[in-house]
Amino acid sequence: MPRTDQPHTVIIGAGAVGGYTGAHLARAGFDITFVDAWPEHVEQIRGKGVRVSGTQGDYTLSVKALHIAEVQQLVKTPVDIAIIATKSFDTAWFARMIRDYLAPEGFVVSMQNSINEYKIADIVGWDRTVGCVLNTIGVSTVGPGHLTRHRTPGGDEHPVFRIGEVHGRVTPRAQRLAAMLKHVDGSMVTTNLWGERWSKLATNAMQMGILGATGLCNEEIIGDAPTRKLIIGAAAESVQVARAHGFDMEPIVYVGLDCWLRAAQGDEASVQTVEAALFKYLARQTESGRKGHGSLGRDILGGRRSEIDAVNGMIADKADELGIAAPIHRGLTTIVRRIERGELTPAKSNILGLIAGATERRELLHV
Amino acid sequence: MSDLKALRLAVLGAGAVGGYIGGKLAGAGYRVALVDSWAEHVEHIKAHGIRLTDPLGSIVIPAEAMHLHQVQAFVRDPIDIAFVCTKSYDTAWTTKMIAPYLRAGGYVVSVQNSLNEDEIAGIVGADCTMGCIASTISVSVTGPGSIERARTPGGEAYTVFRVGELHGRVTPRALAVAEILSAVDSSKVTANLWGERWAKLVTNSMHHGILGSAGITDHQLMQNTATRLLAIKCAGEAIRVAQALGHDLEPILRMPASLWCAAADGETAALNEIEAGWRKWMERSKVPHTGSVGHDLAKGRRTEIDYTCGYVARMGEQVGRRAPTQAALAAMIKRIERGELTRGMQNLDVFFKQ
Repeated sequence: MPRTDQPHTVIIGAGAVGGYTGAHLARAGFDITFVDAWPEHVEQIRGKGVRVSGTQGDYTLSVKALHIAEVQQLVKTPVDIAIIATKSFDTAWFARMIRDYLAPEGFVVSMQNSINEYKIADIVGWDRTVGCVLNTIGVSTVGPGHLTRHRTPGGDEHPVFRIGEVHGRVTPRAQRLAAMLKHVDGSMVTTNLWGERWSKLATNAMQMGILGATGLCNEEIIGDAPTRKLIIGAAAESVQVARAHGFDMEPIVYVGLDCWLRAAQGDEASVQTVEAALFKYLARQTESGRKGHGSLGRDILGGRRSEIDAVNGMIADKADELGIAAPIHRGLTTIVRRIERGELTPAKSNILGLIAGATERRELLHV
Repeated sequence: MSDLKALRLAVLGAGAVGGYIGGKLAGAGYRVALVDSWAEHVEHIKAHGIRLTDPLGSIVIPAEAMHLHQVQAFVRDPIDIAFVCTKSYDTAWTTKMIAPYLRAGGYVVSVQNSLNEDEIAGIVGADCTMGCIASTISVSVTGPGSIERARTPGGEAYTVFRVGELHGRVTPRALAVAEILSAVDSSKVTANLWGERWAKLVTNSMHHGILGSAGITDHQLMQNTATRLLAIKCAGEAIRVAQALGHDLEPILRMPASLWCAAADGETAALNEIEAGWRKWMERSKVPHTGSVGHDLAKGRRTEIDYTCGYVARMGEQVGRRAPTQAALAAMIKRIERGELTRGMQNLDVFFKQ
């Protein structure tokens, strides 16, 4: 088997993020192979090619795609870069599956929500683990073989891809990966992977748990004053947990962390700053006019397992590790897990207790 | 044990062994889901059920089948017993995939070739791991949704399923698994899982490397004195590794381990006895076969060599009892997998010139 001079890059999970990114890389001439567990999706890509639409044009191109049962073929074409773009709960088994097929210098990139680098490192080793935080890419799966982007490209102003080594050094492999991803949208190498991860996690967690628990869309939760307090309370909890662990967290939706903490304590000026940022963020999310339930809300409404354990659940677990309280994240996790098991249905009423709790704590802080 | 049918069962890898077990269990009224990565197979079972054919006849059984992207549904109905029936190289990721969906007190049973219990125990814990040998079950997949069994079900004459705890004690849950599998074919609890596993591994590893690298059948291996002696040498190496590890081996091709070792050491009487016994054993095998490694190589697929000859060689290194022939055969098969070497008798010259 002749090897091309391009790194053999395997995209594990060719859904919204993986499929969209991989298709753009293939279009730029990179050696891309998709691996996906959804049989219809793989069949469609093989038969008709992968279709990409939305804000960066509408085109269809041919990309290699493997069913899980065919991954063993990679024994002949070892993997230089394995990009994991699956749901967080599918990380460990996919990492274990691909480990057998990595080239000697091959490495694994987590292009996921939440923080999965430690799970991957457990399996392939820290030296073979790289992170890539996505900053508002805004993509979704339309149907088998079709992925779309509804957010305008961020370009160099707002780099979508933030690649980081776990130790923060700017390595040649991180730079090469960033150069590759520039063919998709703006990219950069960050020296603060963990700070980026926590910032993204807090951004997701302040909305996702509530979207899942209520079944509402972004506009409805950010537009409702009591629910907004809960959002701000959730963000403040994330800041406290991240700081207690010693992470140098980046700002949340471009607002400094202290401002979030003050807003949660009811400081009027801070509340105004934070709310303005939330509405600006909402405007960017809804610019394409579609209802935003977020990936977690979509999964819950579709009756699928959600990433709640890896988002709100992760923050609650990290709080438990240090014995600090994160009642909002713990509460939202419990509600969404009960919905997943079919014991509850998504409704606004599910979060009323948490809203009351957030208000009560704020009043206590004022006294 | 009337409540066994209330348990949530999952068969991971619904190929030859898994498909046969899963189909039979579904037919007996168990709550079993067949999980497989071959999409066409799963689609076929969902739409038409699974067809099981054996010398006594052919039946179609409606069964619940799942694609891998659907296993998350277990979050609402967690698994009591997961039977892992995949190729050995798919063990670790399959176990990692299913681990979050085990009920508290749930466990994983390996119904595979080779020894994968250690790998499974490393993921779900030794207390959640059991083994089961499917002895001479002789099943194969003949197409999507279709499994064929070459042998008549064993019944009482020959015990097909041997269920064992890692520690060898006869526990209620081991009895429960044996009871469940009795809906498929004869079953029992063994107190010597490791001795059973290694006996099967000796048989597999003495065949697989040679059949795969030479591209011959078991009948050809048997008829050629040079390959036959090479196989006996492999058996001797594997047995000595097992013994160094402290295992009490069950008979190999119905002959005791000590006799194989004597034959491998060149003792004429023992060699004659082994060859005669082997011939007798082969009389039951009417159709020549290339072994699973040879079969996979012919189809251009990855083989299980790391888990047969390769496993023997690795364990031998660990315990200071080298198995150089097994190691060399494993390395050769890996080169064939990568396309660096083609199959043929010439590959064995390196062993014969010594």
